[in-house]
Amino acid sequence: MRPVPFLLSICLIIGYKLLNHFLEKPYYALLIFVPIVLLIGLNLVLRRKLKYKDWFIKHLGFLNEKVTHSFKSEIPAPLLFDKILEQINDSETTLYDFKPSTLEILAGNSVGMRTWGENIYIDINATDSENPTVNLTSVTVFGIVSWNKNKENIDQFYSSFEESLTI
Amino acid sequence: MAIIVNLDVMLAKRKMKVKELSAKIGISVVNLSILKQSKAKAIRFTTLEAICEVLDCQPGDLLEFVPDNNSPHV
Repeated sequence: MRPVPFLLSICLIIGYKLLNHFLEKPYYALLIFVPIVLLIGLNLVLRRKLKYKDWFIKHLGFLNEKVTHSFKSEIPAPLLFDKILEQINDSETTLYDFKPSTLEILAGNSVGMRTWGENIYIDINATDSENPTVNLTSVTVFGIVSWNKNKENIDQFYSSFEESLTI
Repeated sequence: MAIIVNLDVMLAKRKMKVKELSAKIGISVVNLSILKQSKAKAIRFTTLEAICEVLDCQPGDLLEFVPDNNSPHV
């Protein structure tokens, strides 16, 4: 069986059945649930590309939980970019996309029992060349609640990055 | 930065590239570059030992203390 977000799927099915039962016409329930299912499908397709970053961070903001964290580093931006890529490859997080020209990285965690997965957008702001700023943004792919998983993942990513600077 | 890592100096003396050292000691080029630029938070004894062994040098050849004018004197 594929790893589906089991709890959310069950909730959707129960919700659909309840609406179907209480509404006068059965297609009312479909009118509510088809857009939700389509949106989930669309998000799962779009999530792996950096060019759809705004879709998840801005346009879909009201439907997603978003956690951000910023920190400064003394490592020059291009080297920091490579270091973060290496860190992602060494972790359980999957690297989806990256753009060296804009120093942007998209990584993510896959679908699990309680979540449709999350995207982690990392961008390095090199305006201060001595101390570039790293902005980490974790967004749920679908769902306004992440059960604090977003924050845990961001914190874990940051602490493992700090640890990896002991060479 | 009070502790300076002179890895680039030792690499130049031994006419060795970072990539070659990386392959010999099993530490990534990125991490060695961070170390070379004195941007690492700390260095493990195992790393120091491996570098010293390959570059045939002493830890003192790699690390140098340069007093920082801004740091408070203890």
